[in-house]
Amino acid sequence: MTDGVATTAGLSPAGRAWRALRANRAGSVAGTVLLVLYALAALAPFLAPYDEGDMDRLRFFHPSMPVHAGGWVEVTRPAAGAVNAYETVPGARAPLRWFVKGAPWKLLGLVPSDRHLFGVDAPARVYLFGADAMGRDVFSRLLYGAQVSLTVGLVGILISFTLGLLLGGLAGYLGGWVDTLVMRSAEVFLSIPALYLIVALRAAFPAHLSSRQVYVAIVVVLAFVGWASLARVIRGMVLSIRRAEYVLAAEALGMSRARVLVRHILPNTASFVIVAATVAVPGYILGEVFLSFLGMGVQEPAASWGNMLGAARSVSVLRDHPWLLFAPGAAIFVTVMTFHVFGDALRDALDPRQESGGRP
Amino acid sequence: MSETILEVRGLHTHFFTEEGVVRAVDGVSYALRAGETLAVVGESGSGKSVTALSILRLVASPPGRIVSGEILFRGADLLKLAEGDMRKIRGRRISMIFQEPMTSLNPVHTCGAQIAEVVELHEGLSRDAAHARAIEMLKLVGIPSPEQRANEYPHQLSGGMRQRVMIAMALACRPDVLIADEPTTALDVTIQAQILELLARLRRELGMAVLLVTHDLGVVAETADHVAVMYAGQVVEHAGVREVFARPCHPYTAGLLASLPRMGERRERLRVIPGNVPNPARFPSGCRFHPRCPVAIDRCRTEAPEVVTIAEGHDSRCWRAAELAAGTLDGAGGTRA
Repeated sequence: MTDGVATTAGLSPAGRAWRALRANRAGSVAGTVLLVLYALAALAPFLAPYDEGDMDRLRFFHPSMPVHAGGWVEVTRPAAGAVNAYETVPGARAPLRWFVKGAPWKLLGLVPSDRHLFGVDAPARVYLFGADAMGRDVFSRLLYGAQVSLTVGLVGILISFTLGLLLGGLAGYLGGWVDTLVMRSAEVFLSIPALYLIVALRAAFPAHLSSRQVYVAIVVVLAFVGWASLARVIRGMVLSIRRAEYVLAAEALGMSRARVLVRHILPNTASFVIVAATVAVPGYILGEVFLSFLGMGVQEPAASWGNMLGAARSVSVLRDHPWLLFAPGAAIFVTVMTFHVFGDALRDALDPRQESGGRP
Repeated sequence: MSETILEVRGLHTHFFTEEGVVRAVDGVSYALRAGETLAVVGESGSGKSVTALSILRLVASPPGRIVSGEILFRGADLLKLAEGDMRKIRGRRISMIFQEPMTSLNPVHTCGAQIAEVVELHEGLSRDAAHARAIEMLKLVGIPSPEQRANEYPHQLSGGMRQRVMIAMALACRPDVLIADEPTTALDVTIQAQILELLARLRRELGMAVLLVTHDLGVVAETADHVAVMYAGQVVEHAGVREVFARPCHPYTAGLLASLPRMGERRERLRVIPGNVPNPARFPSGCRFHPRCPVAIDRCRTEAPEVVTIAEGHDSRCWRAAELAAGTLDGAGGTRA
C-alpha cells in the first residue's frame, strides 16, 4: 500500500528483510559470529602458528598451555620416566612474538606470505589448545579444519539447492510425465536411510583420493542426498505459485516457459529457500563430521573438524587428553547453533506476516 | 465499416475432467473490428473468460483443450501456429489484462522492470532503452511521477495504480488487440470509471481493438461498440450496443437488462433471472436457457435453437427472436411499459 509504514515504504523486499534482521538481536549476533568464523577460516594460515601437518615427535598429547600476563608461555620438556607427560623447565619463558616468520602459505591460495600472527622461538612450542597424538597443534588444525567444515555446507547447498530448485520447479510447473519422473526419483532417494545412502555413495568413489578430491566427493555425496526433500517442497510451492495471475500474465505477454519459471516463479520461493538453505548448512557440517568420523572423509594429515573429532573416539583419549574432544566439539557446536539461530532470525525477517518490520 | 482484425469461428474448448467432459466453450463465434470495442457479456461460468484465454492459447492443458474451431488474426489461424510463433503474437500483437490487479503483478520485481522485460523480450531493446520505454508507458497510463514509480514494487501501489501498470505492460509493444478480462471488477467504482476512461483514451490514441470481457452491463453501455452475450458456452445474442439495449432479442439479454437498477424507478427488490447457470458437464436438452426462460415454449425444451439474423449485424439464438424483435413479446417476462 502506498500509505504503508513510513520506515519501510520505498524499500525493496530485500531491504525490508535486512532491516528486520538488524532489529533482531539474536540474529545480529549470530550473523556477526558467522562472519567472524568465516574470516577465521579464510585467514587460517596466517592466524595459525603452525601448518596443519606440522608434527613434533617430542610432544605427543601435549596439554594446552596458558598464556601468562605479559605474553609468554612456559617452556616444557618430557617428564622423565613417564609417557606423554611433560614438566615445565623452571625459570624458562618463551615470549610470544608477533608477525613472526614461519611456514610459507598463500592467502586464499593466491597471495604468498610466510608471516604468522604469533609464535614462539623454536625449539619451544606454543599449544593454545594442546597437541594431538602426532604432536600437531590443535589450535592450528582447528583453524585449517574450519576451511573444510565451514565451506562444505555452502558448496553442498549450492549444488543441492540448484538441483532441488530446478527439478522441483520443472516438476511443479510442467506437471505430467516430468512431474512423475522427478517426484518418483525423489521418493526413492528419500526412502533410503540417509546415512546408509551417504556411506554407499562414498563407496562409489575410489578409496584413496587426495584430500581435495575427498572434499569434492563428500560435497557431491551430501548434495546428492539433500536435493530430494527440497525438490518436493519447491514443487509444492510452484504448484500454488503457478496459479497466480502474474504467471498467467507473464505467459500472456509472450514469455517462454523457461523464462516464466526462472524469472517469475522461482524468485517467489526465495524467502523460503534462503531460510531452508541456512538451516540446511548444519546438516552438511555434521555430514562431513559423520563421514570423517567413520574414516571416509578428509584424510590425515589434512585437518577437518570431523577427523579431529574422529581421533578423539577412544576412552583413553577421552580420559587423558580431553582437549582433543572439546576443541573440535565446541567448534562444531558453536557453528551449528549459530546457523540455527541465524536461520530462525532470517525466517522471522522474511516472514511476510511481519511486513511492518521493526519490533520482533 | 473497418476491417475485421480478430475473428473467432466455431470455437469449442472442452475440459476433460473426472466428472466428464465440460464443454466450457461450445461453438462460439464473434468478430472484432480494428479500432472498436467488443464487449463479451455473461454470468460467471458462461465461458466468456475461457474463450478469451483460448484466443491466446493459454487454456491450462491438461485438463483443457481447444477441440475445434478457428481463431483468425488478420486472416491467419492462431490455432495452427507453432508455439514459438504464438509467443511472438502474445504481448506484441495481442495482449491481455486480468481481473485481479492485486495478484497480476509479480511481487518480486519492480513495476518498471516488469514493463521493461516485455519490450526487451519482443523488441530487443537494450536495458536502458527498455527502462525509458517503461517510464514512457507509465506516463501514458497516467501514473504520476513515473520515474519514481518505475522503481517501486507492486505492494507500494494501490489497486487502481496496479491495474494501470498492468495496462502499461500489456500495451508496451503497441498491440493491435487488447483483451481485457474483467479489468475493473476488483476495483471500486470511482477507480473503475478512471480505468475505463483510460482504456477508451488509449484505444483512440493507439488505434487498437479491445475485447472487453465483463459481466457489468453498465461498463458495456459506456465503452462498447458491439456486444456478444454469452450463456452456457454459447453466444446467444450478438449486436451493436444500441441495438442490444434498445431491442434485446434474446430472453437472457432481456433478463440481464431488466435486472439492472434504473434511475428514478421505485422498486423494493431488484429483478433477477431465476435459477443458476447450468452445469456445463450436463447441459439441459433443447435450448440451454429454457429452464430459466420466462417465455419458453415446448419447442425450446426439445430443439436447440439456430442462430437467427434479425437485422444486419444482429443475431440471436432463440426460437422466438422474431416476436422479441417485433416487440410483441417481453423477453424479461413482465408486461411492457
